[in-house]
Amino acid sequence: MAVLRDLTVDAAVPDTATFGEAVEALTRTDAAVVAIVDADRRVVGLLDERQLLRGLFPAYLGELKHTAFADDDVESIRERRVRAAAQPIRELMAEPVTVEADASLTHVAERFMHCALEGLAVVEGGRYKGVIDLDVFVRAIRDE
Amino acid sequence: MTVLAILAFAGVLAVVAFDWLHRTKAALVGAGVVVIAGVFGIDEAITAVDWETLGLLVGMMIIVGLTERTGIFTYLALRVAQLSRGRPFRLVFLLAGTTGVLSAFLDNLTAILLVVPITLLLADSLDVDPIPLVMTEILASNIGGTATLIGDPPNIMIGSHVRELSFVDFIVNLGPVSLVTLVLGTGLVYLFFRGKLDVDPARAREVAALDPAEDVRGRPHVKRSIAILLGTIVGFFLHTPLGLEPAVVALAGATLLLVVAADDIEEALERVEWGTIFFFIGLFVLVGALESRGVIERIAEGVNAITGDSVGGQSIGILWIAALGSAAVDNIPFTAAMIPVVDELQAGEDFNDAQWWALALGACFGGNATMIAAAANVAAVGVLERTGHAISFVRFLVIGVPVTLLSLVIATIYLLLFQV
Repeated sequence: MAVLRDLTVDAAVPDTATFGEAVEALTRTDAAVVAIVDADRRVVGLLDERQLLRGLFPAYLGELKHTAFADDDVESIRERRVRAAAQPIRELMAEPVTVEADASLTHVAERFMHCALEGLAVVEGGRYKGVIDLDVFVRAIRDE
Repeated sequence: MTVLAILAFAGVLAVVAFDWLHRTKAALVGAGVVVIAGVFGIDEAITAVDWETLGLLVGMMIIVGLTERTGIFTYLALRVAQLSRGRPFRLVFLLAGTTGVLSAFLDNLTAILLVVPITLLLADSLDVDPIPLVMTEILASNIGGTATLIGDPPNIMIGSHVRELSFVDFIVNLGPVSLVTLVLGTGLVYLFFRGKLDVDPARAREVAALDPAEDVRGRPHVKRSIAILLGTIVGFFLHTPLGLEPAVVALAGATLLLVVAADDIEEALERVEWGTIFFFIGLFVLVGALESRGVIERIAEGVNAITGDSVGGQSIGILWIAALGSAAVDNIPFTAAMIPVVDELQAGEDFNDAQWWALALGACFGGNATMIAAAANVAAVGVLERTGHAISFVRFLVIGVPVTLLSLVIATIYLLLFQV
């Protein structure tokens, strides 16, 4: 049976990082989620691709439910991308969802079912240990 | 025990005003204290809750929540913005008018939550600062909500409490003054911001090319949801000849909509803002405690001492006291406390509607002064903050206070000329 520790990879940036630096870490590590950690190595937020959208598109999209009529303004999407890159990651990260490194796979599955993130942070005694991707977790269980 | 009842109510007001604790938690703690301490019993506490107000609120929350899913309100807001053709004067007045009307027939909080997000998209598309437009909408929602029994929580409370006042009475007595105030208040906001609303004609043409109907097409239950919303509004107009209370009309509409347009009952009932409902329950209990200890009677005597015995003096006094109280705290608890005061002032006298209109005008217009004065303001400021357009308390005051003063002057003249 897969063990949570074996499925964990390292993908973290400090909470002083910019949105651009966090996105760079997301791309570099190839993980589905990057943990944002404070000076004490506690996870204070997460960034996944859904959250990345919040940086690339206007924040009011999150408040709207009807946008089928909306048009694309390629130029302003580009401008927003440049602006967002310099924004502190703390302003754009999601609330952290964490599991302990010795958590059962059942508990991890339950956590994934109840959150909208593509990955979770793994902690030991409350300190950052790594992240686990939803697709890695699902593949590990499926291939058992 | 009397001191405890006063301290509990004043404590909740302070906590709400300074945002130390969520208002619902504060009201429930206060209500719990007065019941547990024995200021009055659980039976009296249950009797103190105005279930009609809660029924009207819950019914409207379900109707509006389910109708909102159809996208019809977004369609309306966008269509209206297109009519402005990018001219700032038209844009401001059309958005104010739409928000005012939506606020009158839905409620001001809902109206704000419907129009502000689409306004942010519009402002982005037109490349203008969204704050002038959103400020216009906040002020318009509080003024428009004043016009009807269901438009603003203070009116819902008054309309549910005072059986003599019908939905039509509210429109006849508060509609015209609200309309005049909406036009003049919007004019003032426009003068304040006009330099910031220049629209690039090319951007305006892009907005004009959008098809707002795209979101409504293909959504389920559109026609039946709109029909039931409109039917409920007609029901409000006819509630007196039908012999039905407004709460019954709202709950009947909500039930019908749940039956024909809600595929998932649990999801549909999530549209009820339970936080607001429990806030009201806590407040009713707190005010009931004040009433049972004779505090309200003494406040009424105090009002009488300041304003004199005349209906005119009392009405003007109620208007300004309610406006000041609402501005400083929140117009919902203030109205909850003022309703029994007006009851007390009218005890032993013939029924007089002028004082109720004064309370409605004061509480609703007072809601424009500060960002915490009305639930709609708090919600709109929250959306602005979340979307990177935070507005400070003082900046709100700079616009809110002049509009409030203007509206109170209009209300004073109106009461003196037409009501007393």
